[in-house]
Amino acid sequence: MSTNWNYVIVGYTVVAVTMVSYFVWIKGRTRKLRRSLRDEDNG
Amino acid sequence: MTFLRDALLVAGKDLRIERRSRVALQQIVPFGAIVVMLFAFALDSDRTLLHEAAPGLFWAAILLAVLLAVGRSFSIEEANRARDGLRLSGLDGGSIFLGKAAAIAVQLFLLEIIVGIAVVVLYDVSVRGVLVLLCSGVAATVGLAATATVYGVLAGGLRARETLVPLLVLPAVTPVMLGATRSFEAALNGAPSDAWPWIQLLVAFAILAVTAGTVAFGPLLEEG
Amino acid sequence: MKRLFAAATLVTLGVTAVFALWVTPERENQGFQAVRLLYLHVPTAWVAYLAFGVTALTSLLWLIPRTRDAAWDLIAGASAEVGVVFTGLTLVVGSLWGKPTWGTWWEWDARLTTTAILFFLYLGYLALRRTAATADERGKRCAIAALIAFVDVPISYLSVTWWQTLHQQGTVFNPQNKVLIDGSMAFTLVLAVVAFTMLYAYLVMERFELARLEEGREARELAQAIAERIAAEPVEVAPA
Repeated sequence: MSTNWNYVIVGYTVVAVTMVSYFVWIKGRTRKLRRSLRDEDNG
Repeated sequence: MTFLRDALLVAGKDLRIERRSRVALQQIVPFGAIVVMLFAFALDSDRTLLHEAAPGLFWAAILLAVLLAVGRSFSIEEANRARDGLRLSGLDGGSIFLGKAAAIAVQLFLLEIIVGIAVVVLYDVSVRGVLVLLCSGVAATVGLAATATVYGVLAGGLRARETLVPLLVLPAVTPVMLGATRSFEAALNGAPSDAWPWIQLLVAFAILAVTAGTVAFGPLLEEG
Repeated sequence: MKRLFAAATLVTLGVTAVFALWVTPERENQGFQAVRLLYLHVPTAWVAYLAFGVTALTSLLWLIPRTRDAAWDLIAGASAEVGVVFTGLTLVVGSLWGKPTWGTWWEWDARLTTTAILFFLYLGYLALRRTAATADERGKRCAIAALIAFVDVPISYLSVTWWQTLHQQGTVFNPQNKVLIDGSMAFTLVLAVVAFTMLYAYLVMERFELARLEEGREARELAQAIAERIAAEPVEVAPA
């Protein structure tokens, strides 16, 4: 039943990719907002 | 019992508006009938399939029509700043809720009768277990009307109200869909006693929905 | 401090992965590797329930005038968003587990159906959050929507005991109150739950930060708009 591994690999990949993408999205937007708010304060 | 009297007042107002504008009659009822036909096309007019799926298809059509009905119920409040008038009227939020929900329920009942006739005729259904049909129908309708009214006021005044209300209402009324469909199936298949647990579910849901609405409507109306 | 917690979370997740993918055995009777998916599925499901519980609790705290604080509303939103992500993952991983186990990608049994409904209930909640104009408006409407939606959580959890379902009984919390697995598998499962709970907490923290910044941005834009409006209108000077 080594074909079971396919399901496991897909599952772990999906979870990992989703978590990382979500994290990256949050951090990216946070960085962008912080920068623009700082620019407004300074500019 | 001014609470109930006020509720009747609000219900009467909504129903009177409907009697004059005839929106439900001329738009929502035909919509229900068209959906019934749509399902027939979707299932390739397969008579046995339609016959078996009739309870589910019936309630799916009613569910879609509820969305129209609640949209209508709250859009009449938006015209001429009627929403402000409602707030300033001094009526208790709970009464307004009961009144609006009752008006929707009445319109739903009439819709169900007409759509029911369409389903019986077009899907070749023989009507049995009328008592079960009535009990589950009433409980389901009350639950639907109450839930839709809660979400109607929750999303009222918001920009994307028309698309938001369906997204909010449909997941929330799945217990009604489930209970009503199973009850109708039991009745039409000649095993009405099977419907009993589902009717219990429907009644419990209806009680919950009405209670939640009575409590939450006032504060929500204060918004926007 | 947050960075330390993030590091700890990563380590725990890493150890869990090692245990889940290497150390623990396959299910003996069938050479069944897919059981390793349970070390993902169970924690994500638990975290989803936790997330929506937090949303319900913080919504309640916001609603009660005495405890009202703008932060509660932001936490509620953050937790709900994370919860939706985890619910989606629960459904996907569950589906991947279901195919080799039951032979089908999906079944309309009580647990799966109520979980799918949960997903849509909170998707609607997130949509509602985006359309409200003011913080106050959003707080009130979303709080009520969150409390209504939370009713599905206990229903979903208890559905396996209430109805005869395809989905299996709880591995730890079940009516017989017997732990159904043991040894390294049990340890890994617990570890996985801990790891994902830490991940949940971290993600909510970061998402809350973002929400705070977004609030600040909106407040600033509002103040700007008001200032522009005032500047545009001629100011009447009262006669001396």
